[in-house]
Amino acid sequence: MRRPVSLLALLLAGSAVFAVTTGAVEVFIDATRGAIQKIPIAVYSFKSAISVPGQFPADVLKADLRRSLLFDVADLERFGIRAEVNSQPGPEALQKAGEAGLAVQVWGALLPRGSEIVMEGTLFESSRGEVGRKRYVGSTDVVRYMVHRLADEIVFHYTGEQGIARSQIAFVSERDGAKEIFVMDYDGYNRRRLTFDASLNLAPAWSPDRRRLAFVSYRKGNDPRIEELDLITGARRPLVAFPGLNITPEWSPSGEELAFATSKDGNSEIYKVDKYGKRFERLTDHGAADLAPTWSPTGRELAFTSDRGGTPQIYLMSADGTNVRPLTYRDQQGSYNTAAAWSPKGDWIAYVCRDERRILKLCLISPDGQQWRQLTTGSSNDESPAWSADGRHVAFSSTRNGRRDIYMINTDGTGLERLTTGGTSNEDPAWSAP
Amino acid sequence: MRSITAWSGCSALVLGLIFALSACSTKETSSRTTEQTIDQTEKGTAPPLQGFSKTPSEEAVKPPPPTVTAKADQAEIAMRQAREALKRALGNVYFEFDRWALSTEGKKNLAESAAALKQNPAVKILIEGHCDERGTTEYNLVLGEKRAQETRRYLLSLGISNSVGVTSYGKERPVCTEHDESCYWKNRRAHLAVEEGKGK
Repeated sequence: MRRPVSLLALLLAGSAVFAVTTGAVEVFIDATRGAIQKIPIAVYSFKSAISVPGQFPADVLKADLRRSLLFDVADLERFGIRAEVNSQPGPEALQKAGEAGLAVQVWGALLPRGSEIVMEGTLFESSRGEVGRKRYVGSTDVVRYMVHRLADEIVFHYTGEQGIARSQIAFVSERDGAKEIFVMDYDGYNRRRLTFDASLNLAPAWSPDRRRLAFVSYRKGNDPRIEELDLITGARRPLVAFPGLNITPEWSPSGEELAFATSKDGNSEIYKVDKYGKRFERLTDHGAADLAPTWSPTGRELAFTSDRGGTPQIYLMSADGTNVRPLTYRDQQGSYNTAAAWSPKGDWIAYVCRDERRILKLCLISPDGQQWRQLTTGSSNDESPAWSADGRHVAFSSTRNGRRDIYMINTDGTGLERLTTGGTSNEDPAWSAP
Repeated sequence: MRSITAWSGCSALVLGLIFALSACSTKETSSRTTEQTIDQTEKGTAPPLQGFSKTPSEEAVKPPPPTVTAKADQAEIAMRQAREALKRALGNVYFEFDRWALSTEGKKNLAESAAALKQNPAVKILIEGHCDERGTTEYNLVLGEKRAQETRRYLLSLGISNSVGVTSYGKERPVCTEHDESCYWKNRRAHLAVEEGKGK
């Protein structure tokens, strides 16, 4: 489908991998691991014939491309490149940018069409000219979504990966003493409230197809149960409603099963249930508390929290409950390690570690236990890690600005960005597939 | 390809979507635009990326789901709020950091509560376990339940005949929100609440 990207092969010789697809050799950026050399890219202000200024889509696109961590978004002023206001860049600007080493250039236009608008985006390589264009049509309310699609197309073109600009983050927001489920775009925009229960809702979990959200609800009786909300029809149904606590739901990567913890047997144990809420299977059997399961990307293993060793630690097991073994140890990673989240790329497990000051921070450990590092620092409480689909960002809640809000951070500890404001507090993020 | 998409559009009928209806009735003449809208509706995800083209076709862009809200039951909310108010009216037992064992003082408080409960044997009570904020949401739910269960065990050992349930709110329902020990201890508690509706 996609053509070889010879220019970038040259540019990225050190970090490119070769993949054979349908007989043809293609060059990809290896976006899965480690630091890569970023592609220098120029994004011009869009030409706009509607009320939305052309700088707006350009700014959204630049932010998306920066967050992809694949592009070095150039400051055109610094290179002395000045495209004319409200027009597409001319041959002179394109050539100057190319000479300045900006290998890829993007521009676009916003045009009226009846009650709707059309957004066009052009991808250009300085060495070989126009790569191609995209055309989107919709209302003026969806310009951000058009730009997010364009950003993901650019990421897809150079990596073969889906990008994360179209992804959504579900979270819990406290309002008027109640905690309700909300959803927002991955960059914090377009916040939408889903529940109006005047109760306590916790721990949202996306189905991999983004169609459904499972979460914990206290709205019926005394026991928290796991409910499922269909995000298109609004239909809501209980999935797990045993006597006792029913908490920490997590969909399997296939979307066929939901792992969770219930205390119906007297103490908290991990179970899984099929997506119809019918067939239950018990995975752990221990007098201590087992909870908070997270699936490996293959669906063959689970990491979870257990205090069977006296303090809460992260353990691993096979998806059928066998082969249980510890991943974190009290004498190595400290006395309190919980809330594991397995990266969609499989290389890291993020979890909440508690330091000697009894402050909650985020840590990363490789599933083989060989690599470990603390991801967040400072004196705020950080918890509820949730991975972006590209495995390069972690969303989490933090008290770092005096109140609990949702932030995202790159896996190397850079790029901290606050995503929420409003309400009394915002927490428990869950990041959707692209 | 086209027929498959049209079919999946029709299966959306099962979901009772009105615009899926109109999409199906016009499937022969529907533009590429409409097909993609249905696709997005069906799966909950946006239509797949299609790559760049020198002659790009138009792609319709809609806001992603959710575009709905969960239904709320006003009567249910009113009942729950009344019940919660009642619950907040009973006594507490406090715990040490990270622990769920009862203290001597806690046992003394429970003995007083047990005496009162023996006077009202038909009253059903619910023990809520709570924690301070220095643990994670998930683990605190379990820790709170352990505190509630420990409290229940002790109450029953004192010979009460009331029905006693347990639940846990972890750190989700703190009584105070300062970030120091003067507040933390108040939140590490098991709270005894009277359940609405008397008798067993």
